[in-house]
Amino acid sequence: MDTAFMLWLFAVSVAASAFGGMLGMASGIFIVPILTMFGRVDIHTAIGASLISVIACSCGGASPFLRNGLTNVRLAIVLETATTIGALTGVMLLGIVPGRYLYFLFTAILFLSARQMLARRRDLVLASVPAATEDWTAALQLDSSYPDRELGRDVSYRVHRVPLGMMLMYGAGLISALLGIGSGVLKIPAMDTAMRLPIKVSSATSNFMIGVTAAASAGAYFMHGYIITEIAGPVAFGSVVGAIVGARMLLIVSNERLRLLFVIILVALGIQMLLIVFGVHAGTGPL
Amino acid sequence: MNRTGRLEESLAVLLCYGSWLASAAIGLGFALALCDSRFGTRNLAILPNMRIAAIGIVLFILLPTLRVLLMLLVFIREGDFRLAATAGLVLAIIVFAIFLGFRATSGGSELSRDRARFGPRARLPTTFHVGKNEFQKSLLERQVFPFWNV
Repeated sequence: MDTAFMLWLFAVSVAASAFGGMLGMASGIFIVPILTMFGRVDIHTAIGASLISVIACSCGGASPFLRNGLTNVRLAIVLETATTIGALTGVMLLGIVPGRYLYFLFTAILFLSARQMLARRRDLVLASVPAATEDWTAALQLDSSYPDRELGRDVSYRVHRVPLGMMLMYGAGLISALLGIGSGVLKIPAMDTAMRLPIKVSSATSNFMIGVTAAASAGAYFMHGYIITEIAGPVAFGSVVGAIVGARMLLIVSNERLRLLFVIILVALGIQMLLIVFGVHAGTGPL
Repeated sequence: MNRTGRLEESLAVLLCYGSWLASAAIGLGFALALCDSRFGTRNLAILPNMRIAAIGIVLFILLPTLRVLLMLLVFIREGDFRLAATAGLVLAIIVFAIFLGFRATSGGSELSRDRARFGPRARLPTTFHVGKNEFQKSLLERQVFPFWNV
């Protein structure tokens, strides 16, 4: 094993994680394409490494959200049943779905993320006044409140359409296990739109849940032998360092230009992955 | 409200210290491996150091699982049996997923390509993927990695 390669993995992960962290995105969506296309790592190994970095970022970043009361812990554990069952399905499909289809699916997710980046997230909470509390929400006492610094008071919110949210979460868990990403693409519509959570609560809760979802699939990948220390180690460590750097840079850099650059990179990576699916090898192809 | 606050505080403590410990293990193994490769024998000295990093990786996989276990215990103590059952279900699913991965390994598979190339006992790769051209093969044989060449 070449130590220069480990250093390269580390550097790439720091960059990907810092960049993703500036827009509140997990680094997995960059790491898997970069490792497969430029590092010529097998896609399953890349996914395994990315899963560890997803867990690292989720666990490492959870404490401030928890202490500020933004994470809805009760809702998280309920939704985690759906995401982990999704992850379980993904793990079962592991030996069945060929690598080629994974590239294709990844391309689709990259394009979807790019589209979602262009659209703004809006709070739907204030616009809707719920008539009656729903069965699930009442039985599990999911409604809660969070302290809003700008308003200077606690904002209470209700959790809507839990069954619909759980169905979307199942999909998010499945995609996460298959592609090694946090799958924010599916979680954002589930939590913002379907369940109508305030953005801050939705971001904190989704970050909290990703760790458990990824742990379910990472455990299976580990037993499979897809998680190779020489690759996953530098990637996970780099992601942790990058997440810290990204959080600092968040305060300095303008969000708008960054968002556009982000979209361009997502589309470029998507196009390159698509080329690989159709057998056009730009540079050195991994298939 | 006060009780939930306490649960959140203990979760924050567990996740914070757990991540620090796991990251430190990976970082230490990584740093020692780098030092060894500078001053010692390449490829051979790396083995024990990477084992420290492997412990860090296992810690990261265990950390969210422990977090669910902690939630299960707290919900039981609070007498919130619906959520305790939910946490128990999540825990069972995680264990089942790991078990599935274990079952699949005993069947044997084609995944050893990267293990042979990058794994702890990596020597010259013995198997090649179908479709690699001669140039790529020679790169692999010389353990030259592609980022120099793209």
